[in-house]
Amino acid sequence: MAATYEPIATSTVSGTTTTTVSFTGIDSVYTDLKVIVVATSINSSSTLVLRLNNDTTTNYSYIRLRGNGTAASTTIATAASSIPFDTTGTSTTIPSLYIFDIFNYAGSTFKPILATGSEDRNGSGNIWNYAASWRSTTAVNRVDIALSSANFTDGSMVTLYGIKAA
Amino acid sequence: MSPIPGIIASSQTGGLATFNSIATVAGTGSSGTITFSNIPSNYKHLQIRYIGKSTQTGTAARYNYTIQFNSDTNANYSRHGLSSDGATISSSGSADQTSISTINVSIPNSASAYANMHGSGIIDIHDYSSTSKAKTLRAFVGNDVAASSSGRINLFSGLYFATPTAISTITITLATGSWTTTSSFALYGIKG
Repeated sequence: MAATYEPIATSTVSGTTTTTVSFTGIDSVYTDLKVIVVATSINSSSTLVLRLNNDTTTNYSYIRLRGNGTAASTTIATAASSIPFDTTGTSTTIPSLYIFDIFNYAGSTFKPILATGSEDRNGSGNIWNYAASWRSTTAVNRVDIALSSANFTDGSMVTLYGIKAA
Repeated sequence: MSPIPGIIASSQTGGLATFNSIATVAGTGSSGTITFSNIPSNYKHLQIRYIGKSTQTGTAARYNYTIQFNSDTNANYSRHGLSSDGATISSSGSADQTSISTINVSIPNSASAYANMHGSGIIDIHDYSSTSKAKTLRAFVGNDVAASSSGRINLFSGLYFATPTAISTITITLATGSWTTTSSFALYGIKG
């Protein structure tokens, strides 16, 4: 029986040749999934993205609220191929923190997602908040965290948690 | 965002005793109220995680909801918030309110344009069982309906400043329509 808040798997990147961290065969016994990423990349300005079930079609949409220390901005995307944290991308030296909450991931309706990103570079950076969705009625059985144009640095970590309601 | 009390990340199964599921309440399709009652006082903080949708049909629309504690309908609440619809960022604050409300519409209705869509949220209530402190709330909620200027992302804080007492009841009331049967609210207790 699944515990209430349980680590399902952790992937710690070894070397510098990994562009995508994947969790596959995700059990449907939980209520929500939570993905926590602490990462740097070997090249700066690389976008970190979330994809579900290896879906690369435009089944994602989101509203994004961002602050960069100077100004707040907002964006909407109604047909995206992922949930991206873009603009300035991951750092090569300073870890960025990203958290994705995927609600009712095993249900038969679209999957609501709330996400935050913290990219503080001691003088620059971003804070992000997303309300998003994956417009598929299929249960999530795979989560991919990928960099668009770079590889993760050694030691970058992605953890998948399951949260189970009573 | 939400409290993560010393999580051990590994590939091993085995849960955390510090984060416990207290109760789950589903919408009935005929009531706009979700209630958690008889909340035990042996946790440090509470977290509510939900997906929600209104039964209202017709024109596609989204609605607010309110949060009250201990069935208190007096002006013992305040809140501040930051919101965006993807085009416009807004902020607001309200004092001496009879509830804590979402600052911008977060719950989609059952119009055909919103088929299969739900709002979602994480609401943290800190030190809820204290008998000497006012109660603070932090929420990250939103709904994305894949349409320009129709979804919302909402970040808000709340304060419940009645004479301090432990929170034993939480009532979440939808502004329009009833909570659908696909709506689900899960209450978790976090040990400190």
